[in-house]
Amino acid sequence: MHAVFGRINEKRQWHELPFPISLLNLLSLRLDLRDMNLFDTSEELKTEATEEPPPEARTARVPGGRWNDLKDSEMGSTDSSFTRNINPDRIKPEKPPRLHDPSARTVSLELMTRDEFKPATTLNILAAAWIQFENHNWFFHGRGKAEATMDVPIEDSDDWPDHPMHVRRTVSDGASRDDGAGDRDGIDFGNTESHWWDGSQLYGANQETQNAVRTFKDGKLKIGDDGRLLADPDEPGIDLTGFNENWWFGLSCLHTLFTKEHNAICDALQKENPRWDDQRLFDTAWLVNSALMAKIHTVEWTPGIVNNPALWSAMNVNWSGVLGQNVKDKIGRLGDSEIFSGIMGSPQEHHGARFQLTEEFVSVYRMHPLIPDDWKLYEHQSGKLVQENEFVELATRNTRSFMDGFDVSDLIYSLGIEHPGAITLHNYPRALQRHTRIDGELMDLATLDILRDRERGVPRYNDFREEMRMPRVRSFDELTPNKEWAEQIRRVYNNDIDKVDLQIGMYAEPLPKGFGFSDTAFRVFILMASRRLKSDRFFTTDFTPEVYTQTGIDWVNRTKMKDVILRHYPELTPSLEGMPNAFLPWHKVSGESQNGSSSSSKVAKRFRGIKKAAEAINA
Amino acid sequence: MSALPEASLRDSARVVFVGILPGVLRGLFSPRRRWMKWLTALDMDARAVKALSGLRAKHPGQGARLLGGRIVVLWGTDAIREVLDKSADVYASDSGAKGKGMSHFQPDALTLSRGKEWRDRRAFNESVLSTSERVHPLGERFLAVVDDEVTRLRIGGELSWTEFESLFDRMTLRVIFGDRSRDDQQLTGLLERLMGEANRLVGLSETDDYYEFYGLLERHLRDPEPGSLISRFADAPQSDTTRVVHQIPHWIFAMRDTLGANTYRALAAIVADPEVERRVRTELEGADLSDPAAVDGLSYLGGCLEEAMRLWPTTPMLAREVTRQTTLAGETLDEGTQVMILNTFNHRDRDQVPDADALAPERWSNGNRDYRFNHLSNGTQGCPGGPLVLLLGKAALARMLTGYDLSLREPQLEGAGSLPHMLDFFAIRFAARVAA
Repeated sequence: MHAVFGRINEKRQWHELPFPISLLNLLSLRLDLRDMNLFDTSEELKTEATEEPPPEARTARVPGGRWNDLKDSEMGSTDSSFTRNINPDRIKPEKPPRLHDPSARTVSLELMTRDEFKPATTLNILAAAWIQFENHNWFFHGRGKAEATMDVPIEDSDDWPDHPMHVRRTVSDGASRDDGAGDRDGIDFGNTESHWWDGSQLYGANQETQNAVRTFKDGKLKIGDDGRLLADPDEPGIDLTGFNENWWFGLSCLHTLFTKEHNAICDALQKENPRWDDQRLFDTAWLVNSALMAKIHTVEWTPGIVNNPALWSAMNVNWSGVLGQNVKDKIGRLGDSEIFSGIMGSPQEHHGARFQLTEEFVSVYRMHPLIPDDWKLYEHQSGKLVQENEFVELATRNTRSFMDGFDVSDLIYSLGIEHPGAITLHNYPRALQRHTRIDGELMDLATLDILRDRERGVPRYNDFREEMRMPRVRSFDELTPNKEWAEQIRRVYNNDIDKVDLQIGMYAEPLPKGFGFSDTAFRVFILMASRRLKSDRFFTTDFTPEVYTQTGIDWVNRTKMKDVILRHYPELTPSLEGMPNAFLPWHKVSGESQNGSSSSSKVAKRFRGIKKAAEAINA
Repeated sequence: MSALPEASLRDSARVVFVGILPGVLRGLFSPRRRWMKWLTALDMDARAVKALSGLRAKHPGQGARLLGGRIVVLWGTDAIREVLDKSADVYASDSGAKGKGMSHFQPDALTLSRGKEWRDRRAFNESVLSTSERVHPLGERFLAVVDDEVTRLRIGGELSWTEFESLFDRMTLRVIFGDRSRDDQQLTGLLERLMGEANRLVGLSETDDYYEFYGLLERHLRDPEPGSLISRFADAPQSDTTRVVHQIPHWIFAMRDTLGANTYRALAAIVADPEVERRVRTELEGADLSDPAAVDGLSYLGGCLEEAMRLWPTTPMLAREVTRQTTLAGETLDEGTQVMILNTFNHRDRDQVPDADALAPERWSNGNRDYRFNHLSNGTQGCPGGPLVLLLGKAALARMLTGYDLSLREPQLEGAGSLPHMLDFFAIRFAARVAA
């Protein structure tokens, strides 16, 4: 397969091939990527256990993610290093002058500044909030230290208060390591979250945080009588939850929703198992809720943002296999094959490298253009526009007070009907280009998005493509069909196509049909999306009724995002009626323009068409 | 009487077949050696002149409408002036076969632009090429390049197009990109290949060569060598619509291929006529060929070069499309009408051009542009590199004539009085030896 598609892909990329050949091409790419793009940075994969796992870790997740792998307790746990999708021998963290060639601030201003809001019309803002919600599940590099900064050169005419701009360095992992391995030339950076898909954004990445969000009664998480999360006692304006950095109301809505879902799962489990104690209820609900979020991400969010028949199929294959969920429900798994019966419940497998998320994975999830600057808030019953706000008014320390003026269902409705920004050049939210963090630090996240890749040695666009075995682009015209962009990029990078930053290339390149982000980003994604399922014991070997209970397994298999929303906010039913995917633009309630609703039904219709075709193949 | 009467279908067909089609067969963008030979053997341009003369005799106004008015052929100087003075606006040069073919290798070139984009790109081209100066600010260095390249020319007794083409190839690369690009034949080779493909006009799509070629051009711009044309980019007016890289290919082929062929033909015409050669050599005596002002002052030699361009126009026709309904010579032209200015005919029109078939360098001594002769075009879209190519061409001729003793081996040109309609530059050969 490698030989055949290798030849074909020299001329044409997978998405240019007809379905279902495109699907076979995708599977082939994933096999290649597994073979050639998984690397350990500092530690080898352990093949034998050296330590006996604690009994509770066998059937439950542990805060911080230790003991997911029973032979290697530290794998994927909080504070362990990111690994790479690129041979570490070829990783070169950039240093000045290259680090600032060209200045990341220039790149931000010249190429990323939003000229006009370019919406992603096939999606709703819930999809934007969702990916941030999940990023917080997976990774965070920490805040860095105020005294260790990089000085970003800045034009005299720039109205940024500091010249140069000071940006905190990412804290390298090597310094804190006592095994003498050193920091491998500064390519190891720690993840303050657990790498596992374990819902740490809700449940915390350590015991202390987890204790703070638990009620210790009936397995439940804390939530107010008013249906809102509690306030974080240490951070005014912010909710109390497992991870509450970068806070705004969209995140708050999702955290509220899945906190409620956790508690609903606890209720169902308790009903069947009245004698279970708080810990067992909590542990099991945690497993179920985490698996549900992973499923929603895999079979709903992803096909929503990459609305392509091959992808639709591939994602369902990942989850439930070529044979589909119905066959699996009726006759169970057909052996261990992940192709026939999906990754869920197949044997755990790391494909030769310890499971840790990668720096490249972090890079391709830089999707800040999804965030709009100007927000419209509606009342869900009448559909009436009640308020318009700028992002800063509904984010960070303003979040809770902003939300006090609304029912959560109004906010979710508003997220459901409005579009996020398209992930392209010149669509970076103004608010994030001049963003005051909750601790008062002023930052340009666009500058950061560029600088972080350089700092961490994530290659620039062309080198990155080569690492992913994609063809290099030879000229600015080949990079993008948008001539004005081609000129601007050429100017900023002084005619050197090989200097173009990964983010800029990804935002500039033409997208495959139906895609919300680039094919280049997608290469990392096809590898890592399946890996974060396949490496996790609780999605594979231990995705069983014995560990989850049958109720838990059924809950995961039978619930979709729409069900979660309607379970807790049934008043939103009219907007979600008939929607095949909760991340597509919802129906607007009457009183709004007909255009809106007809465009949402058009998107839904196309989506249903693709889904049907994909299901026909899957069946 | 109408200034643009309707030609009969039979006459229309004749013009299309002998006046227009041969130009396409010869290769609109990159001359095809074999077709050139056949068309020369058939003396096609003479047939075109004859056909057009016949048509003009019937319709002595400004031109004629062909094929129901879809095409208008012009021979009147007034009408030609009207069209060329409104070029890139009312009359666009980005249509038809030219637009289609050129888009294959330079879709955003100045010559294919109109309106605002054209004005933007024109300003850039004029700035880099110093259109308004008779002598380019980098003229002295360019003359040194010509001198060096002529000196390094390896001629073993005979000069043929192969050597001359490579002389111009290297000159062009050094003038545009600087001395270190002298051997970048990959660049000119890619352009030649793309232009060759463009000749066929159909089934063209963006190729690896296209991206490879533009990638190479961009690479040159990263660190422009002082003294090269690209070193002038930084100070030239430009915007995101200028597409500066896309302006370069036209310079390459205008300097390398077009000027190369014209200079080579001029050299043949000069040495074929002892009297002309004598006058040229007299003019060259004592001239400081390293001084741009002195080279610019070689007016007789310059006249020879322009005569070669006039007699054997490398651009057989200028085509323009009417972008909005307009009047020409008092007559209404609909949007979409194709206006043709056939240089092949107009340059050799015996009724309007005295000594049309003779080499008459004096014709150019007053320095005025003449709208009958459009080898460098005229009006708004007049060649922005005109002064530069004339300077380079004169310098190359001067250095060749002072550096070598040349006599024409092939073809035989019977003196300057009655020169043939076609002169296949591929076939020109000189006996050559280094001058004493």
